[in-house]
Amino acid sequence: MNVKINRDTLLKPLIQVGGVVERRQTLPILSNVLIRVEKGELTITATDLEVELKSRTRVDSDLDQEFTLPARKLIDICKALPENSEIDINLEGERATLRAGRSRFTLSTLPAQDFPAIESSISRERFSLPEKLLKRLIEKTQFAMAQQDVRYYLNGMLLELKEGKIRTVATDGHRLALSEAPFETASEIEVILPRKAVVELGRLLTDSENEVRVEVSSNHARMDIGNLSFTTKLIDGKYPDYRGVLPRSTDNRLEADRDELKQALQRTSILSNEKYRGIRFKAGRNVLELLAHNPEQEEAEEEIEVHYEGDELVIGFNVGYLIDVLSVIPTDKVLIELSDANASCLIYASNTDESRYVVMPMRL
Amino acid sequence: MSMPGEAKLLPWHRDIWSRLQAARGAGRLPHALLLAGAGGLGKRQFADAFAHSLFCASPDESGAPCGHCRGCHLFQVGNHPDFICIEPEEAGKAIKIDVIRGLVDKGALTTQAGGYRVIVIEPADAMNTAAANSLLKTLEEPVPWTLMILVTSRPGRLPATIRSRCQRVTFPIPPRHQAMEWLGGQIGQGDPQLLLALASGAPLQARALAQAEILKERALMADEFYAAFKGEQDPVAIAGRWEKLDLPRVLNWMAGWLIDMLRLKSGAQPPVLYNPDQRPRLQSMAQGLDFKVLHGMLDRVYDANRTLGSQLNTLMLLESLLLAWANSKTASGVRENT
Repeated sequence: MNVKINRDTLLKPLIQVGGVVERRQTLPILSNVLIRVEKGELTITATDLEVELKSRTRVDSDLDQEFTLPARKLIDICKALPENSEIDINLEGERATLRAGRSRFTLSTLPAQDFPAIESSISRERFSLPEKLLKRLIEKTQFAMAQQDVRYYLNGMLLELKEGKIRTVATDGHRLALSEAPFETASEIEVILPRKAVVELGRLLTDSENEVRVEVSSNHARMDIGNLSFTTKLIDGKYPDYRGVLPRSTDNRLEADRDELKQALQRTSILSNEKYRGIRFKAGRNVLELLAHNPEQEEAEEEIEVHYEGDELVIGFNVGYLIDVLSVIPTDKVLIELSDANASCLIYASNTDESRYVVMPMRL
Repeated sequence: MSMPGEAKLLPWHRDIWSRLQAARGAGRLPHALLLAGAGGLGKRQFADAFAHSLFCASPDESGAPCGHCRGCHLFQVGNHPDFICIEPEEAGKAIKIDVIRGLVDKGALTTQAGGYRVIVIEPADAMNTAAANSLLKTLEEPVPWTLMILVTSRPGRLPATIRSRCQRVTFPIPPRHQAMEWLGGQIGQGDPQLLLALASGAPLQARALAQAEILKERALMADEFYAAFKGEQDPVAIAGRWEKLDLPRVLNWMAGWLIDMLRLKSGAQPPVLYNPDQRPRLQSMAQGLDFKVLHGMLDRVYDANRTLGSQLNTLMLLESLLLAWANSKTASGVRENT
C-alpha cells in the first residue's frame, strides 16, 4: 500500500501535533502518531492520554489508509529532507518504508487500531468564541494554577459560562486570577481543564479573529481551532467557590504606574528571603514604600510615587505573586485595593475590569 | 506491563470472581481492593482479568469480556488509556513516591472511555513508606469510577492505614484436586504431586518450578546440603556455587528442608512435607539434631530472607548460613552432653 505526500504538506501538521508527544512514554504506541488518509484528507493524531491533537490537511489521494509512525523520528526525517520533496510511504507488515528522492528510511509501525485515540462522544454543550478572546482568557489567568497540589481540582483552570459571561478562574490557594467577557449562551457550563491542556492551548492559540468551536461532553472538552482539533480530558471535581475569595470593593485604592511598580518590585525582591519572598508594602499619602530584608539582615528599600488617599497601611506580600500579576496587566496604570494588613488585595487594570487578581497577604 | 494474553480466569478464582461481579452488578464495588494471599496463586492475573471485564462494553452474565469491542481490543494490546499499572522500576526495588504522586494528577482526570479507571499496584508492599503515605490521600477520598487494586503476597508489610482503607480479598490455596488437575494440563514434565508440594500448593509457582534446570539445581543443592551436614564437602565451596543461583529460591529450599526436618522430628508420620522426595535423607539428618538447633537454623534463614533486596553481600550470607549448618551436629552434640 502506497501513500504519496508532499514533504511540506506533511511537516506542518506533524509539527503542530508533535508537541504533545512526550519523550518518556508509558505505552510505546504513544510515541507514535496516527496518520489517516481518507477521501482526500490527511489526519494526523497525537496523544499523551491527557490531551489529544488532531490536524487535518487536504491531500491529493484517493486512498483509504490508516497507520502509525514514530513521531519524533518522522518529524526529524521530514525536517531534514529538502523542501517540496515528494515522500512515498510504503507499508508492509510491521515496517514502513519512506522514500524521497534517493533517500530511503525504514521505520517500525504499530497497528492503527491499537492507537488509543479519543472517540468522539456525544457532546453535551457547544458554543463558539473568537480565538483571540479564548487566548486572552487563558493567558491572563494560567499562571495562577496550582501544580501537583493534593487538591487536584486546583491543578487546572475553571472555564465557566454563566450569567451572560464567559469566565476563566485559576488559583493555587494563595492567589487567584479571573478573566471574563460578556457572552450569551443558552446553557450554563462549568468545567475544569487540566493544567497541561491549558498550557498547551496557550501555546496553540493566536490573536486571530477566527471562531473557535468548543464542545463539552461529560468527560472531554474539544476545541476546533482552524484545521486543528484539540481534545482534553477534564478534571473530575468541583471547583471551589471563588466568589467568596474576591474582596469587597473599598476606597483604599492605590493607583500606580505598572512598569515603575514592577521594576521597583524586581529590584527589591533581590534582597527578600529567597524561600518566602516576602516584601513589605508601606502605603502612605501618595507614596508607596517597598521594604525587603533577608536572613543575612541585608535590606532593600524603594519609594515610588503613587496616587493614594486612603488610610496608612503596612502589609506584606509574596513578591513573586505580584510580579506575575503585573506581567499580565495590559495597561500602563494598575489599581490595587487594600483593606487592612490581614485581608487580601484586589489588583486590576485601570480602565478595564475584564481581569481581576487576588493576592493573599503574608504576615512578616 | 500487563500480560493481556494471560488475563484468563483460573479455576480457583471463580468464587471470588462471581462475588466481585455480583457486587459490580449491584453497584457496590468498593473503591479499593487488596488482593492478598500466597505468591503463585495468580492474583495479578485476576486483577488484570477483572480490569478487562470492567473495560468491556458488553460482558456476558458471568462478567467475562466479549473480546471484540474497542475496550477489549485496547486492553488486549496493552494500550487501554484508563488502565494504570504501577510496578517497581526493577523487580525487587521499591515503588517510589513520584510515581504515586503522578497518580494523584492522573487519577483526577475524567476517563477516556467514560467508564471505569483501574489502577493496579503490584506488589503493593514494594511501596516505600513515603509512597504509601502519599497514596493514603487518594485512598481516603476515592474518585468515583476509579478502582484501585493492590496486589500483595505480604499484606503485613503494608501500613495498617493502607490495609484498613481497602476491601480485602484473600486468595486461599486451592483444593489439591483442583490444583492438580490444572497443573496436569499445564506442565509437560515433572511430577505434579512433588511440584505442588514444593510450591506449598500454589499452582502458578508449581508451574514455574516445572523446568528441568530448576529441578536439577534443587537435586544438586539437596546433595550438597547433605554433604555439608556430613562434613564431606567444604561449606565455603558450596556457598561459592550457590551464590550464582537465585537467592530467594535458595533460601526457600533451605527453609523447606529445615521445616520438614522439624516436622519429621515431631512425629513419625507428619501429614504434609514440602519435600516428600527427600524424606529418608531429611529423616536421617533430623535424628542427629535437636529442636533448638533446627529452630535456630530456620531463624537464620528467615533473617536472611528479610535482608533480600538490601546491599548485603550474598556470598558472605550463604557462607555464614552453611558454616552454621555444617556445625549444627556438633552444636547439638555439645548441648546434649552438658
